[in-house]
Amino acid sequence: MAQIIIKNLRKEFGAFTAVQSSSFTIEDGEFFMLLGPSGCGKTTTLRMIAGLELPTSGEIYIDGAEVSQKPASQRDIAFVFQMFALYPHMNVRKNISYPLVSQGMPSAQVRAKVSEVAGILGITALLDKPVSGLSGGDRQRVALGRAIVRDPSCFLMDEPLGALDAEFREHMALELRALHDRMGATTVYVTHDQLEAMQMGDKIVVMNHGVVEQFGKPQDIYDWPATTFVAKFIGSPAMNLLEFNDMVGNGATSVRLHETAIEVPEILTGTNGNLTFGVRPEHLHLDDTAG
Amino acid sequence: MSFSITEPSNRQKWIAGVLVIAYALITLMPLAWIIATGFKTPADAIAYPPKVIFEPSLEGYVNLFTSRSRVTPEDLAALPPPETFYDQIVRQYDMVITGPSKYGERFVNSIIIGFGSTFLSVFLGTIAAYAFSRFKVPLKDDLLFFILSTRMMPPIAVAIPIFLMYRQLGLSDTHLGMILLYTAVNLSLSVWLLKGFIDEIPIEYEEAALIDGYTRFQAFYKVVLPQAATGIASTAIFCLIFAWNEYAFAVLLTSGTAQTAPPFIPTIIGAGGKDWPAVAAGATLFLLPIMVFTILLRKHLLRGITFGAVRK
Repeated sequence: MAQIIIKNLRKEFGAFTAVQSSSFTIEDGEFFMLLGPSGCGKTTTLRMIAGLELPTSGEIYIDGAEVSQKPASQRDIAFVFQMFALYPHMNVRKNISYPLVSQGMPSAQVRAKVSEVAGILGITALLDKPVSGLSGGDRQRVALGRAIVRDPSCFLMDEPLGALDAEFREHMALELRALHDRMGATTVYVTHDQLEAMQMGDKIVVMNHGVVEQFGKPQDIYDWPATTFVAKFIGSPAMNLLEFNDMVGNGATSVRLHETAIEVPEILTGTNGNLTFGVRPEHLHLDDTAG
Repeated sequence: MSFSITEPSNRQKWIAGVLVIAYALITLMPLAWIIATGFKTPADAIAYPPKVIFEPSLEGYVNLFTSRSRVTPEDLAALPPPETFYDQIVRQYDMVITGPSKYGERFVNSIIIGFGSTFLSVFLGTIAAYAFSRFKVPLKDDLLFFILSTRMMPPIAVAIPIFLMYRQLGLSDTHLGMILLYTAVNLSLSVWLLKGFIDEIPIEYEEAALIDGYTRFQAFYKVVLPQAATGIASTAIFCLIFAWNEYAFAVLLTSGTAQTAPPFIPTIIGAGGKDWPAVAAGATLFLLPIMVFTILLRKHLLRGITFGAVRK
């Protein structure tokens, strides 16, 4: 249960800057999506929150405490890896109980806690099986079990559905969201799939080339993209973008494209020069009257 | 004729089987001959044509483990009757046992030096390989090449400098000296082999352990080591085989206290005629530890040799 504040976070790998001065706040209990194409810095941001990478500069606050230079083991967070990273030499029970054992919890209590978690995830029957024989979905559940068993202050998930079959992903996504609602813990979720982000997230940060492009609620990002990148990245099929050069007067309610006046939903402030007109495909309809 | 990569035909299986068995027979032949010779009498051992079927005798083993001296027939007759089977064997040749031979000591030396240097090579190799695999080490590639380059000349090429150095340092003919030497020779192999194994272990396992509240050392010890067990076992076998069989340095640097079995076994020949059964007995016993070690770890060894060839 924690609020996470990211302030001017920056990460450089040699000459390459993976994350450039990101700032955003993740509220307590939120299901928060870090969205962007491959190599945009979303995973690096997540790994910095986890403590698996240390930031070059900037601060991270978890629950009010500054943690940016602390090791992962001291941050009280749980991390779900894309490839699950279940310990292959341990069975399911040992995998789930591993974070509790590190805290020195008595074994009777560990057993009780593990069975409780296994019950929530529906994997009680698998507890004494080796992890090597499990299906992708079951591995995912064990990885989630290992994450939730310790009641961490927040969950960090790096494309946790990326390794699953397409049909199973949707099912698992619902399960994940339900689990989040039940636990109420802050969840930070990295994905490159905008559909997943729109469906599951309370808030989304869209990143590109290490820069935060936009930060807000899914619907707001869809309706009011802050940049052309966001406009193109969100929505399927993508938004139509037409560049035009025209003068728009103060208080205008339409723009002119190729001699055609098109009404816009918002009153515009006056501007001049190279402009981009964006329209979502679903907002277009064909008409047989001449324009 | 058609070939299939996935499923060999019966005929191909047959040919493969015959080849493998023929190869096994050829390679096992000397081994079988040595083991058999150890149980022959000296006369049978050099009989011509060679004897395949013979009456087994423990003479070779008795001679291997004892020092004997010749006595006159009168003195022999004056002795009380032999108490044990080995007394009896020795007296057939007008000899009496004067004490144990040095073979036992040399064998123990081999075990101390062989396993000691194997442990050190694997221990240091694992730590170094982990660092090379996981951390940013300045000049990493150059260092790795340098480590490998120590194997580019035969170790014996530096025998004389090492001999002089060891004499100066007082390491000649000491267990520590031999352990250090074999460790130095094996370390490059062990670092390179183990780095390959550790590179194959996804870093996420350690990261998961770090997140689960373990320190980096605990993550290494509890997660990486069990994963690397296969690699460690096969590296240990390679190191042990080298240290166990090494002959040249052992001849040069050891003569007494720290002498290992390989330079000792040939010296058995000299004592009064060519005692082939004793030599063969010495060689047979010398084979045993490494055979047992390899059989114990054979599953790992096979996987170790083919490791990295196929991506899981």
